[in-house]
Amino acid sequence: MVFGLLPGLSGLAALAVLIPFVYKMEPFQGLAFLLTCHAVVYTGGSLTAILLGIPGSPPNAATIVDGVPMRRKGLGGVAVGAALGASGLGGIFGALVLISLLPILQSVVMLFGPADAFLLSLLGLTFIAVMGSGSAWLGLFAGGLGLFMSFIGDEPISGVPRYWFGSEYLLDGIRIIPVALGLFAIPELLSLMAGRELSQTKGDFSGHQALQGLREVLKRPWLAIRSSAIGAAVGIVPGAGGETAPFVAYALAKQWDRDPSRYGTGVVEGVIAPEASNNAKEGGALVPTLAFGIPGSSGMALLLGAFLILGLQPGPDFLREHMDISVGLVIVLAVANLLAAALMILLAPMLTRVLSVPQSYLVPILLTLVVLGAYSTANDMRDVLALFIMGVMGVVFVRFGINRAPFLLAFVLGPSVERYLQVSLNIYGGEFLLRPTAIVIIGIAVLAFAAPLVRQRLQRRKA
Amino acid sequence: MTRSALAFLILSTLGVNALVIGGFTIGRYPTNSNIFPAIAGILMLITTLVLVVQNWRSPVVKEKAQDDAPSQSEPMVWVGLLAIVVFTLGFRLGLPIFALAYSYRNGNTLPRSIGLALGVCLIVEVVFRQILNLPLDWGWLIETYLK
Repeated sequence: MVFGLLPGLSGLAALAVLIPFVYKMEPFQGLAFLLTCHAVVYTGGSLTAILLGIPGSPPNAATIVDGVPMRRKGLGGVAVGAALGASGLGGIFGALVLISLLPILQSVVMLFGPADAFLLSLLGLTFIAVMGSGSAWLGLFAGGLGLFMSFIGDEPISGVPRYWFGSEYLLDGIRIIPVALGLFAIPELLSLMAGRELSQTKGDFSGHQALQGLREVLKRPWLAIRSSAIGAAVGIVPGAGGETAPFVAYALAKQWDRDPSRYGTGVVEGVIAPEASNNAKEGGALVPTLAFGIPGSSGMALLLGAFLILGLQPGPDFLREHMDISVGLVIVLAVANLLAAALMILLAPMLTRVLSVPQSYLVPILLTLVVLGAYSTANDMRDVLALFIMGVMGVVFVRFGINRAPFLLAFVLGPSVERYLQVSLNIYGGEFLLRPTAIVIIGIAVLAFAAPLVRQRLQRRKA
Repeated sequence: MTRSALAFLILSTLGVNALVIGGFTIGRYPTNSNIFPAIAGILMLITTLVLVVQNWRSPVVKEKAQDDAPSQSEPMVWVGLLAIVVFTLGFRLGLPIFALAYSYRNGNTLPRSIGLALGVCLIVEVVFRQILNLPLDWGWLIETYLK
């Protein structure tokens, strides 16, 4: 959770730092230790996102869209309570998905191929116009720009270098953490330095508000369950980009709402949806890791390394020989998420005192964390430069009222769409659109788009 | 939408599309490699056209000074200074010096500012150097001197 609170440090950094500690542990003990740390990082990140407008890790950026406006309305405590409640619920849901799929894990993962990863990524991309508040056209513009920037560097299949201007850094593509921190953290810190934010946020938080936030989650069980299901489904597909789950969950919550225009102005549903899916995706991401030894994300790749260090080989045999460990990990995942949410709710009133720290103290510390967070991605000073450049872009976006979330969503999904489309065309040709899972995903996409329109029309008729 | 916002949209769309065309012509990228950037460029072009037409129908908003919005010019100078300090003096020296200067300039006493700078030193050294084991950059100036 501490890693989640620090901007730029993700679950990946937490795993990298903690792996050396598991060498002398029992296999289950070591794995439970690492999985717990990795799974609850996003719970901590939600607090930073809501209170400071700085995403603890890139997926927390979706929480900012409504979390920060809620804080500005004086409902920071409700947003934090709702985020923590949704995180806990999402984590438990992810664990339930994992345990229910354990007996049929292999056949479930086999259902998803590169074509499905492409379609899921494309489905995510279709939400760029829906993210955030304001004009959908501006959202599409931001998405287009994010998409273009995600294509800088080597083309994933042929390796043709594009738009690299002779820079080795650009050849690898711009990394996500400097982009997310630059877009969201720098404008927020500039605002803080200008003295505007603190006066609007002081004294907003109370324990009662946190409990009210929890109640708000319980009042909307279907939203929490639906968002968790989206998170778990995106997590299961290797390479679909688990980081997009909160954005997809947010966009769907907005689309299915009776009044989508409320989103982006500070509604609790805009906090519940991304947070529930964020923690649920970890349970989903464990599915391909355990069943095939295929890590669904970079974090899972490190966890896979830990399995090997502890003398275990994930894959089809692992499930037969170590079902006890598999079930144990599921229980650990559920308990860790529940405990993390409870602990954060207890600690939140203390942690939120950061809002009353004068900006002359807070700003240098936050800038230190942001700059070093960007640098720690790959120990590369060029990431720090990218942070400042993206910071300028973030300021321009804020000034002109352009949504930053669609930019980030497109930036994350662009490479997956490109890679998996080419792989799918090479393997299946154009016929991949006729695969059963492809038809189901296309059906979901059509349903997601058509249902709100149909409902609106029905409501108009009733009126 | 303001004039400067429209100008930003138009310029960035033109810039991206110029890069895409340059990729096809000067860069000689194969079609397969440049098709997705081209799609992104076309998406930007369509959205910018729609926004321009929308604003043409309802005239653009003239930019006016927002009295209630505090100026961000000084904060931007500070962030620019941070970038310069980090790249010349590195993290270990640059970040504490920035913290000291920022804190002192913003009304804190010198002892308190020194205390804050020491705190930043501790964060850099303990969290990032010792715990995370990051090989921290020394900055251009210090590295030149060390050489």
